[in-house]
Amino acid sequence: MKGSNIGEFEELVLLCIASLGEEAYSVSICDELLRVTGRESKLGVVHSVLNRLNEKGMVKSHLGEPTQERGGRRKRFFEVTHAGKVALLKVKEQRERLWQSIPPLIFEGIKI
Amino acid sequence: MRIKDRYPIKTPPRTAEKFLAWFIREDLKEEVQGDLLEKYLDHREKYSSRKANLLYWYQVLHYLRPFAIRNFYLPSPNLYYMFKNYLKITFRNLNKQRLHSLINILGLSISLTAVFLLLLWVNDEWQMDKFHTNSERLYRLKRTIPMAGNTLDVYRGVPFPLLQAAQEELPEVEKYITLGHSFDDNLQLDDHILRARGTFANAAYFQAFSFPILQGDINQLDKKIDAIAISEKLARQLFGESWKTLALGKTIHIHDNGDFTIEAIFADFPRRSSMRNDFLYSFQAHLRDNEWMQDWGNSGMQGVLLLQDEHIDPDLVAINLEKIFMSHQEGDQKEGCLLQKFEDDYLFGDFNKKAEVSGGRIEYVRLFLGAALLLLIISCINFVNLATARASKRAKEVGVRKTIGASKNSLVSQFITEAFLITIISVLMALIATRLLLPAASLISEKSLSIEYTTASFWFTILGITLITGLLAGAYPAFVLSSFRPINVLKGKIIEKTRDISFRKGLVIMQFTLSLLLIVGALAIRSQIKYIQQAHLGINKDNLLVVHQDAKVTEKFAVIEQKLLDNPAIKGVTLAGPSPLDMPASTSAVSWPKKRPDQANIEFCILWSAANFPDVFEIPMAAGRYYHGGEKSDTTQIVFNERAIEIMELEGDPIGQTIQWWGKPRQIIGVLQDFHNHSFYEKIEPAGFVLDPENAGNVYIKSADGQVPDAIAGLQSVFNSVIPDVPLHYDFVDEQYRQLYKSEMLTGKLTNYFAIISIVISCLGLFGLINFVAEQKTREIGIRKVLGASTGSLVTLLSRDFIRLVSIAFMVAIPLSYLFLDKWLERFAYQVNLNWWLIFAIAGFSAIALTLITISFKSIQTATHSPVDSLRME
Repeated sequence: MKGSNIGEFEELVLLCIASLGEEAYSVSICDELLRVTGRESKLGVVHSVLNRLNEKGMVKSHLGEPTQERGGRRKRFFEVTHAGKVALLKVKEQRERLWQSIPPLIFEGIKI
Repeated sequence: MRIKDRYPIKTPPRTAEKFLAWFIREDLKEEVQGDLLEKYLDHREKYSSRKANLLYWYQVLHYLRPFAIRNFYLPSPNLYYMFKNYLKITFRNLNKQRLHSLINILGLSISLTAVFLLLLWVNDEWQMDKFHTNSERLYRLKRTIPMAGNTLDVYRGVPFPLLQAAQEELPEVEKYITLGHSFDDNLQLDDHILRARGTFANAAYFQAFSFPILQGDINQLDKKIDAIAISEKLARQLFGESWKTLALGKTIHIHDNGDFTIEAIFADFPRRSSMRNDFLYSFQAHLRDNEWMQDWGNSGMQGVLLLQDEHIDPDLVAINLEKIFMSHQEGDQKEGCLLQKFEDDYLFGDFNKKAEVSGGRIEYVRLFLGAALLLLIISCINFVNLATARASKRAKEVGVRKTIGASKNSLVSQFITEAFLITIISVLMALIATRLLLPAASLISEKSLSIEYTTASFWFTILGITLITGLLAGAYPAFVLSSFRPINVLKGKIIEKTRDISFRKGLVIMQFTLSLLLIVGALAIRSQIKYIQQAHLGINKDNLLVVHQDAKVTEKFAVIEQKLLDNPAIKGVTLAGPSPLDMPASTSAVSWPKKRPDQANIEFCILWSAANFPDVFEIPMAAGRYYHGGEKSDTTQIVFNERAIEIMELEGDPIGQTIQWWGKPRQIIGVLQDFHNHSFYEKIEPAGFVLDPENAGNVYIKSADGQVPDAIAGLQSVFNSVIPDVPLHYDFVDEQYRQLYKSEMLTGKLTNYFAIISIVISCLGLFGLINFVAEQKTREIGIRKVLGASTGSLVTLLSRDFIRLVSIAFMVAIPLSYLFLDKWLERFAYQVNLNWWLIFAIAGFSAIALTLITISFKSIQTATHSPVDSLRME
């Protein structure tokens, strides 16, 4: 399938969206990323990724209600599309297959 | 506590917000702004405000990514339809506001016409002498003469041996070309006599310059001493339409020079040549008759050198030539030489005291170019003023357009398109007007001007002017008009910023200042010219006719003189030359007891005359007497003017003292009172007067007051009876004198025209403005009237502002014009004492008067308008 390959960062973002459920918008996605990966990403970067994912058809978005904290501006909420879910599962499956073919001995004794 | 501190509003740095809003894509704008704001508030909780601000900036900058930047370049797919709409609206507007459009177009057309005519003139001057194919190799040889006070004078006259030496001894020089001074003379073929202009030349004249030969062999000019070449026009005049078969080989007689055989026929000299000759006879003949030209110390001709190729440095050639020149001179103050590109001589003919080019006709070219620019600016100012003043009328249209979604850019382009359209219309009208005025302009400028439709440069210029004018005039109003905020417009709240109003006032002041400058200038120049023409010259040039002393006239002079004096209309006859009012001939071969070495190169003007010269010209003697009549020519006596005596610093009474003139001793018998022997640009120069009526060159005939036509008739009949084969050709001396100031008169005339045009345009602008102001204030006036205001006070209300502006302009113009004119008058050695007060008074008065006239009609009309009608407009 064309364009079904997603990069590492894109995958992370997609996963974040999926985990956030209803509350997935650019600021919360950023925070989730920070929480999970410890990486502080700039809003612009995340937004750019979201744009790319949108173009690839992996996410779709809708505008929400204007809120006071945002000076009356509306938020854009994202959710993962079917194609996105498929892509994520594919990646997961590929990774697992690779993991299974690695002898556990290699990773013995390593702590993170 | 202040409200600000009690409810602190946390906003991100404004510049960053504005920047973001500027570059971010429209559809992303809202969400991005919101996201960033949320983040910012978050940061403000956790960190200091400065850190939060920095972080905000950080985030904004990181949104500078390709996907987020809006599309600045929007090629509208509907460009064609947009422009059609713009055009339609423009024409509709032009039609709706006919008066205003007329004022605009008229003003622009008038100044564009003036600009076009000026540019035609400038172009013609610029192209002079540039048509020669060898122009890169042609250089005029000029002579530098050291004078008192470490100064160098530059003269065009050079000694003939120097030209020869240049060709023979310098390898860089291919050949020399002889240039004589063109003179008018009577040419005779059998019985046919006519007058033509020409001089001597060598064959190189035609080989180096681009004057094509139509028939014959031009080399004969060098080989045969009686060879002559004539122009096609002259050939036609002498031989008729079949000149091609008849002319060559025939002999013609030039009255003062002898018989010549026609060896070649050349094409008429082109218009753009500063030299104009119908005949050119062999230089050899001239040399034969004037042996003194072979002397290194005499400079009786001008010369041009043709260098071998265009890469040779002319200054080096000049230095080498100077060495040769100086080796043939004696004494300390040796003359040098310099080379100037031939085509440059026309425009850059003046040199300063250090022999460097300092100007010449180029100054007039620059003056006129500047004037053209000035006129263009004045009318663009008009356009801008009127457009911005009337901006409020277009406000609704702008508001609606913006609401529907027009971007500022598209509005700007709409208004610029309008400006361009008006400009194009004006340009077309100006072209038509120029074409119609061409004959008149040619007459005034004494050139034959024509519009060269076929050259690329013509169309480029028109295009350029259209673009510049359109942009200049349209840019500011376009921006002002497109900046209206729809909300204000639709609410009806169109408040003009003070800044715009002051700008407009400034423009009006500038316009009137320029116009006033021109008026003052015109008046001053006219004063100076009148002064020059009426000033006491010390010599009487009125009622004086001059006739060239043809050889036949000299022969029969005694009879002619007698018959002329018999005529009651003729008061006196004398012989003198060349021109007492201009004295072109001079010599430095004068020596006196106390002559100092630094005076070695002082030139004394020479006048050959008859004994009754001072009587006919009414010049009193300061001392001694003039020559006695009856002597053929005198080589033992001499008369000087006062200035000459001053320079010589003779001890005691100059009368009776002996000095050296032309290498021989002469006794001073008289001193003539000083009279102006050059233009008013120069001081009176020392002059010597010799008795030599046969070589005088001109016959002067003084007629009685008011009987000039009778005198002319008498002259004609004397000629007819005594020398029937010599055509009579006479001039008026005061007319010749006026010719000396041709350029000043041209400047004066043009300044007059400019002043008129600029005042007309300024008044047009003023008229438009007052119209508009009156319209705006209709209701206010109506109310005032109801409350009891008199007509007078209402008129004052309307006019007051404008009169104030004109007064300010007047006050600015006075010191400026004084400065400029003072500088201009400096070039004259004798200046009129300008009655400054009178001039300023006239200028100021006329400006105010014109303003009042322009304003009065409309303001009176408005003031007397019935208030019922104006208030009914609700």
